[in-house]
This record gives sequence, C-alpha cells and structure tokens, in this order.
Amino acid sequence: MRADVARFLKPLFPAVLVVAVCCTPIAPGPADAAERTAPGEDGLPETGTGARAEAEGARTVAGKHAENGARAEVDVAQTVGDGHAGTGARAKAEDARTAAGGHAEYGARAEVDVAQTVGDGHAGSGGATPAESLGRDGLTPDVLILYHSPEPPPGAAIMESLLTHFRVTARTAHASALDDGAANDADFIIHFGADPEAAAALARARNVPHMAFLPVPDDGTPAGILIRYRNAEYPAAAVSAARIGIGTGAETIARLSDGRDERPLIARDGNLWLVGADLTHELIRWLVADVLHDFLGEWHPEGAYGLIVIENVSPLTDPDHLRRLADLLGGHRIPFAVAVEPVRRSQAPSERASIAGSPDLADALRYMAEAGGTLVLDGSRIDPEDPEESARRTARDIAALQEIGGHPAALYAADGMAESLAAADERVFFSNVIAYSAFRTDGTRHSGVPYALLRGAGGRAFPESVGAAGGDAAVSSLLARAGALRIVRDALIGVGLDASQPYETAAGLVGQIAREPLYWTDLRYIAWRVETGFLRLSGRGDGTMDAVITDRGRLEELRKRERQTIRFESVTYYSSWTLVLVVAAFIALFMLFIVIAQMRRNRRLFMERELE
Amino acid sequence: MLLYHMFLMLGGYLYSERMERLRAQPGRPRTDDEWPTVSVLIPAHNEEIVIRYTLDAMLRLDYPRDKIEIIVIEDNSRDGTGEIADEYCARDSRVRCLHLKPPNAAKGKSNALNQGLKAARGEYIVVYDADNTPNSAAVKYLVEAALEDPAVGAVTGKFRVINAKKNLLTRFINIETISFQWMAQAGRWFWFGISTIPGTNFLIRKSLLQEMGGWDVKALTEDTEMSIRLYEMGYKIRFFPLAVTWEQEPETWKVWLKQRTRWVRGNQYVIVKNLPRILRRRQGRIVFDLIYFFFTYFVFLVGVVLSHLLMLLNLLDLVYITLPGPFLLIWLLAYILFIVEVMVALAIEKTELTVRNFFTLALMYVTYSQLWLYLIFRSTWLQLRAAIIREEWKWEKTQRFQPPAAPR
Repeated sequence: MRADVARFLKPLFPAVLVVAVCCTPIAPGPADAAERTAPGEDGLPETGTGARAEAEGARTVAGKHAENGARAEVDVAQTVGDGHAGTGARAKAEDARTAAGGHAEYGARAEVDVAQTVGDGHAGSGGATPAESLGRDGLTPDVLILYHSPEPPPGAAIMESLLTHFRVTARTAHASALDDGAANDADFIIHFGADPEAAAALARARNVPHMAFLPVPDDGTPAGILIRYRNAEYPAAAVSAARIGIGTGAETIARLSDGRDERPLIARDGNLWLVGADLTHELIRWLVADVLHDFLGEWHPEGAYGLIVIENVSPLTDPDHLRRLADLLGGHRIPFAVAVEPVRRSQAPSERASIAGSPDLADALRYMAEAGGTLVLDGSRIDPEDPEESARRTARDIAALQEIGGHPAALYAADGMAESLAAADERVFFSNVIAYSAFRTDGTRHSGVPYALLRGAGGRAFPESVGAAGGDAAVSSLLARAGALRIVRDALIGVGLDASQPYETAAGLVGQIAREPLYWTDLRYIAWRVETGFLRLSGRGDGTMDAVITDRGRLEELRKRERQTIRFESVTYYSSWTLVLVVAAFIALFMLFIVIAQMRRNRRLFMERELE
Repeated sequence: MLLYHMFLMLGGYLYSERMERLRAQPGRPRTDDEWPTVSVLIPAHNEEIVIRYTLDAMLRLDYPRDKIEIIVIEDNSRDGTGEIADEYCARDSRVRCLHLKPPNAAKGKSNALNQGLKAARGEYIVVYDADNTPNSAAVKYLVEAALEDPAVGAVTGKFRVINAKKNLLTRFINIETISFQWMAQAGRWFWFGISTIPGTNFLIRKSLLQEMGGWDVKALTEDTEMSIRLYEMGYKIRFFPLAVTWEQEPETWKVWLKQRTRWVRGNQYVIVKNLPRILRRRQGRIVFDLIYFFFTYFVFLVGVVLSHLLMLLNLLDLVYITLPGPFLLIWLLAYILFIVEVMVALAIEKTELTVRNFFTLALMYVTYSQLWLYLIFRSTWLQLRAAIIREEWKWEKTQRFQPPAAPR
C-alpha cells in the first residue's frame, strides 16, 4: 500500500518541491525542543529558510520542513508527508523516516541512521543520503539487468557492482522473465546479448532508458586501440567490438579507433543506448561506469578523488619508517589511511606480536594521525573459509587497538569480508570498507571498480582502484592507470603504499601523484560506524568521533585472551619443535642400533628355535 | 607416552647388549649338586592337541634329573589330556600327574596352580602353560638368574610365538610380543628394575609363594596380580631373556578377541584396585608402573581417540587447527618412530628383521594396533556391565591349534 502511495505521489514531487520552496516563510529564529505552532494544518513546527530547529523527538509532518540553508537536527525524527531538507539544508536524523516526498535536495546532506526513505524520498545530486532499506518500494529507481545466455554473463555481475555507486536497486533476470512482466516496474533496463532490433523494440515498448550490450564477435579480432570520449582520447589494449548501426538523430557518445578507421562504440538513440563492447575489458568497464551517470540521470560532482592507504602496518613495522611516510604525505597535504594489523599472528613466535606490547609503534600511529592519517583495521588476513574465527580475531584486534587508544574508522579487506564479519556470531560491523583485490597473474593488485560504492546503513566502500606500489617500475604503471581512470568523471584513485617497501619507492609515487589534480579523500570527514559486542564507534563526519564501551568486561577478557593466546602459541610452537628434534634424534639413534645389530647378526645370541 | 616408549626401547637395546656380554663371559659352571630343586607346574585343561609336544620339551630340559619334577595338573579334562599325561608319568619318573576332580576342579588356572603348589616338593616353582615348549636351557637360566640376587623374588623369561608364520594375525602377534618384551619388559628392568610376570616361563621361590598364599583365584590375570603383590613385599621380578619358551598364539580373530579382552579386563581390574596406592606413595617402583598402566588404559586412550577424531574432522574440513607447530611432521615422525623402534626389537632377535616383517609392521600401525582401542572400549563396557548386574567372572581358556612341525 505504501509503495502504491509512493508511486502515486512520485510524479507530483517536482511540483510539490517548487511550491514548498516558494511558500515557506523565513523562520523567526532558533527554537529549542520546538513545538511552535505555526500556520499549518495541525499546528506542528516548521523552520523557514536559514532557520535552525533543533528538536528532540521532533515530528514534522505534511509540508513542514527545513528550508534551504536551514538546519534541522532531530533525534528519532519522523518527517512524513512532504517533510524534507531543502537545497543546502542539512537534516540529520537518527532513526529518521522521511516519507512521501521527504528528501535531501541538491548539495544537501541528510545523514540518517537506520533510515527509511519511502515514497519519493532521496538524496539529490551531490547529496549524500546513504540509507538502509533501499528497495523496490518505488522510492529508488529500479534497474533490471537482462541476459539471453543460459547463465548470467560476467558482464551482469560487473554491472551489478558498478550500479552500487548509484542510488538505484538492481536485479538480474533471464530475458524470458520479460514474459512474466519482469520489466513492468523497471525504471531502467540493461540488456546483455541483445539483438539491436529487439532491443530497440523493447525500448520503444517500455519507454524507459534501455542500455543494450551487443554481442561481441568472439573471433578475437581487435576492432580498435583508442577510445575517444568526451573530447579526450584513451589508449586501450585491443578492444573487440560489435558494429553499431545508428540512424539519423542518434548520438555517438564514444568512438573506437584502430588508427585508420573509427566507429561508434557507444551510441544513443532516444531511450536506447547501444554498447558495442564487453564489460570484461577494463577500459570499457570504466567507460560504461562513466556513461551510467548520464544513462541513469544521476548527477555526481565531477572530479577525481584520491585515497592513499598505507598497508602492511603491524607491530613488526619500523616506527621511524612510518613517521617518515607521515611526514612525506603531510608535507604534500595529502590525508591518508593507515591499515593496521594490531596483532600479528604467525607460525613463528619471533613474528608474533601485539600492538599493545609495542609502545613505539603506538606513538608512531599517533604521529600519523596528527599528520592527517586515519586508522583502519587491516583485514587482509581474514579467512573467508572460517568467518566465525575471523570475527573473533577481528574483535580481539579492535580490543588491542582500543588498548592504545586507537579506533579503526573502516575495514581494509577483500570484497565480501565485511559482510561475513557482520553475519558472524561474534558480530563485527564496519560501515565503511577499503576494498582491495587479490593478486593477479601479472603480480599487480587492483580493483576493477573505478569509484566509491554505497553500502547499506550509510556505509561506503572505497576500492583500491589503482593498486599498490611495489617498485620503481610499478610506480609508472600505477600513474598510467590513474591517468586512464580519469575517463570516469568521479573516479576514485585508490593507491596503496606498502609500509615494507623502501621509503624511496613511496616518495617517488607520492611526489608524482601529488601533482595530479585530485580531491583527496579524508576518511575522518566521512561518517562511519564500527560495532562490536563490546564497543561502538562512530565518526560524525566532521572529524570527531564517539566511542562507547558497551561491555567493559568483554573488552578486558578479549585483551587478556589475546595475550594468553600469544603466550600459549609460543609455548606450543617451541615445545612441538623440541619434540620433533628429540624424536628425530631417537630415530637416528635407533637406526644406528639396527645397523649395529645387523652387522653382528651372525654372532647374535637370540636365535631361532632350537633344532630337535 | 611417546618419549617414555623411546626411553624404554633404548633401555631394552642396552639390556640386550648386556645380555650378550654376560653370555660371552659365563661364570663358573655349577655342579649338579649346586642346583636347587625345581617343580615345574603345567596346568592343563583339554589340552590334548598340544600337551604331548609340551611334555616332550620338558623331558629335554637340561637340568639335573634328581633336582627337577614336572607336575602336570590335569584339570578335569574331557579329552585325552589325562591319558597322555598318564603315559608320560609312566614313561619318566620326573613326570608326576595330578588329576583334579570336582569340587576342586575346573575353577581356573589359579586354582589349578594352587593345587599343584600343594603337591610340589621343589624349592623353586616354575610355571609353563600347556602349549609351551621351552628351550632346553630355559629352567637353568631362570634358576641362575634367581640365585644371583637374593632380592629377586621371581624371574621371568622370554616367550616367542611358535606359529608366527601361520597367517597375518600370528605375524602381527609375533611382532607385538617381541617388541613388548624388548621394550616394556627389558626396558623397564634396565631403567627401573621392574618387569611383569607374563603367566608362563617364570620362576618363583616356593616359600615366597606360600607366604603370599598362592595365586588369587578371583583374578582374571593372575600374573599381573602376582607381580604387584611381589613388589608390595619388596621383592624384584627379574626379566631374563636367555630363558626362552615357545608358545602358541591365537590363529583366528575370534579367539584373539576373547583372549585379549580377558587380559585387558584383568589388567583394568588390577589398576583400579591398586589405584589408591598411588596416593599412599608406597613402593615407588610399582606406583610408577601403575601410573604407566593407568595412562595406557585410560588417559592415553582418551588422547588417541581425540587425536583420531581431530584428524578425521580436519580431513573433512570441519575443524581447522590454528595452533602453530609442525603437527603433520610430528605425526609422520611418530609413525617412523614406531617402525624404527619395533625394528630395533626385531633386530635383537637374530632372524626377525626381514623385509616381510617390515611391511607387516608398516601395516600394523594402522590396523592391528588400532584394534587396541576397540579392545579397551569392549572390556570397559563388559566391566561396567559385570559390576552393574554383579556378574561373576569366568576364566575361559584359549583355544589351541595344531602346532607346526618342529624344525630339523
């Protein structure tokens, strides 16, 4: 019923918005626990443009809202009807519900915890309304991904991943589902393996934007090595592409050139967008990632963002080296993340240590924080095969960090790890994740996703899109990659600096990347949450954070258990190797006895049965 | 346990070297008069298949004729055991026949031996099972070992398997008996001065036996029971491997299971009965041995079961061992150690270190040796059941088989 109401109201939204903007008076001033009755149907509070209403338990209904520039901060807010935060406004609510038209406008910022936005509630372009429960409720646009092959092609999964950058919901279905009305609720259709004419017919029939990926010839013949897009040229590894036949009136969005001939790579004809290449090619993936902004009509501010992560920091890392890295980045005014492994667990006791027993490292980390660093938890050793044990270890890691006053703002881990930790019995929740990929066959490691992604409950995922520096040769390839990523208007240039690499390698990379025109991402200014069974951490997104210890006993127990585990594992390790040596010595001794006994066999005393 | 057995095997090998040197330098030979009188007791119940071979071997014993008597305690046999015994009694004056009739008959080996003890005239008592064929010098060696040390209350010789080559089971048992005697018997004697009476091929002073009140008729394993009582009295039990006898072992799994269950039940009974001694700390040597047996039959059992379970769960990916350490290497070394330890024992016996025995041994670790677990569970269950329903133990003799032809 609520979905139906929302669908009914959706077309009215623009009109309502205009009326609301024009008709709301300037508020007389701030109010505390506002219950001012203003001209309104039910005498409920409102704040006009520039005003500020801070209310606890506030309710604004039907037309009551915070106007442009206004600021409404509510605790457990309920804004229903047409309640919204106008352009530039800021509505911050915990457990907020904005229904039917409630939204944060362009540039506005609505941060909600456990938000439910229904009806037409959304965050406008540039806004940031991460909200849970983005679903097929008629509020968020629905994107239907269709395929013709028996199994979903790789491009479908890649597309699902790219779409999490946008405020849409995506679902994948076989093309045969069209007969069951699968496309009825779709606001956008993305079609893999489509015949151009069939795609055109579907686009006309549904009258919704339709992106069709044409089948690419599988003879391996490259069609081009250069892509022209938005007045720029991007060299590409050989691209195989299908021929796109476009009619008059159609627009070529991207072209592919082989040096002599040029042909359309992506073209648009009204609602129909035709893509002649495969998403498995990385540059094509990035190109489509950018085109999706226009396809979905979702505005994002243009400009590449940078994020540097110092990786492989553990109790065994040289603290002085970390200080030098902090000085290097701080000197270039580049904020950065530090992925810390608070407890190094290793087979060999000499490589086992805890940050709680490394005061020098703790000092170095504080130094890094002052230089613009944000601590994140290194989850690279999470075992996907054993999420329960991984969650327990992660909880102990957080407890170890807490011991030195460190609080991780995000998790640095492979794709899917954060979800498995959140689902474990010893639940560990991270709203924000820095995602890296596994090493490829060529020794590089980088994510194929070119921009930040939305996660549930207001979280974000930041891919390490460029990779990690491993040597001078790698620096140049990283920079080339960063350059190619600019094909995406709001690309995230995610770079890793391995703390075990020489300082010169890091200096070389930082020195060059600092010259790039990038907006540097400072994780301290992005809202975040971390929850465990004993600790709740949250960053407000303004550089401050809260830490609430919900179970001190459990925290102490985890710290104690980690120390005991380290001692126990050391004892086990040394005693088992001692046993090996002793047993091996006895085996050698016994083999000597056997040889001696055999050499003396003829005169051995203990013989066979006596002869009769 | 691993370390303890390595230690024992080292002692066993060193003891064998000591025996070699002793034999190479024998002492002054005794005259016939200097040998004490000996009564050899042979309890026999339905032993017609084997008794003839046994008595032939007894008549070949190298011991002064007037100083030895061989008493066949025929215990109410329903076969021709009695007639064969009478035949030998008539043939040789050294052989005496004692026919037990109800109500003093068929009450087990301990009862039969007690009856034989009453009739014995010798200063020393030597016991042989009815399927044993000792080497001719066996009795002399047992007596010699007892005379050398007055603190020795009993001497036990070594037993070998006469039907070792019959089938795979007897090969397993052969390897088992050799390694048990050189590791557990010889090793314990070398390091701690203790060993256990094996039930056959052993000697004990008659006066001592009378002082002890003879054999415990209630015990399923009267040999272990006697060993503990001897230690309680402050005497030693010497293992003297020069005194060798050859005995039959089960040739079928059913007979083997019955025999071993009786042994395990008997030993468990003895351990539980004597466990309070550990707390009272009397007789350090036997306390140590009791602890060892307690660990073997109870604690080690739990450890082995847990270890097998962990290995199985690990193989099925249900459990993942996160402790640091070379556990796979330890498992492999344990297996190699087992092989090498037993090979030392086989190498001590002149003709037992063969390729065939090596492969039998390699197979034994994962087959025959694991049956011990089943034996202990089975006997524990039977013990508990007997305790609950107050069942009386019945001594069941081991089935005999036709002996192999003696080598010529």
